[in-house]
Amino acid sequence: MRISKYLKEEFCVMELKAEDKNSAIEEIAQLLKKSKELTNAQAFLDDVFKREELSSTGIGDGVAIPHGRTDAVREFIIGFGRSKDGLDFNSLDGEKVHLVFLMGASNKDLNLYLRLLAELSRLIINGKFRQDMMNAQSPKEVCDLVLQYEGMRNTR
Amino acid sequence: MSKLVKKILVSIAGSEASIVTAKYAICLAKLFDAELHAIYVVDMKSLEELLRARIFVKVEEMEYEADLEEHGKRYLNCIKELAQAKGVKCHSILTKGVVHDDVVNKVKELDADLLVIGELKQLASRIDAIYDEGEQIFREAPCSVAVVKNLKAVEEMYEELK
Repeated sequence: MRISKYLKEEFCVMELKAEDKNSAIEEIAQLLKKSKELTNAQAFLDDVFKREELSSTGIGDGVAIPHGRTDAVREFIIGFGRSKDGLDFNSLDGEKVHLVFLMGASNKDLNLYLRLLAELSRLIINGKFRQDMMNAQSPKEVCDLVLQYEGMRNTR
Repeated sequence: MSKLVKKILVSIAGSEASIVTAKYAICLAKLFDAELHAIYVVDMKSLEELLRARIFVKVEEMEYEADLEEHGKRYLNCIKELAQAKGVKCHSILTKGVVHDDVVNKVKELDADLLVIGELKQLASRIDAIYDEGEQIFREAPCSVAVVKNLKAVEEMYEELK
């Protein structure tokens, strides 16, 4: 189960203009509108924000994974945004967030969604991966890094 | 000669393709006059991993667990009806745990002669084989394993089954 199959260059923003959590999520969602799998961007956002109400998805170490199960997507979608200065995400460790992965999945294939989320969690616990993502120069490099680290996850 | 296949277990992953996998198992059960069992495992390993990584909060994990259980029951009921329609009795099994462990353990517990699983994923590297549930089931099962391919042909086979 690979994130790299779904993360495309056109869904990555190297420097978010947003200065807060909600705007950052909206900015990445704007990119995901290009995906034919997203059928209703507003409904998708509503579901993601509903999840945020439970608890912040700023999970620490400068990473946030806002996500939602929704009927507004046909298949799994993922977008990425980076903020060099950092965003206030009400993170669990109180630190600013630099790397944001926005994910959405159809209610129809829960198992796929779970495994992709688990795959992403394995990637982001790797400090070197997070550092390389911070230093990436282009969306292509972001996608290449995800592919590269997925292939070497057993060497952590 | 004793029956070639007496007991078949089919592993249901909870996707549309797994219904076709089940149809193949129903055809085999009919052909061999074998006992048919279908298993769906709620993937607790992934749920727990996501909770540990703090991607999920407890209430979210519980919600997913309940939904996955419901999802599994729906698939198992659907398969039971598909089997019934062909005069085959299907026993449903729903467990919660590590998918490949539960499937392999059930094969042993039932003493099944044949395990039927869905098509294995294209692996990008040998490392994937270590993590992929289907691959692990395939490698660790103590009985013969049928990997269902060519879904269209299976659909036709099921339709033609009297």
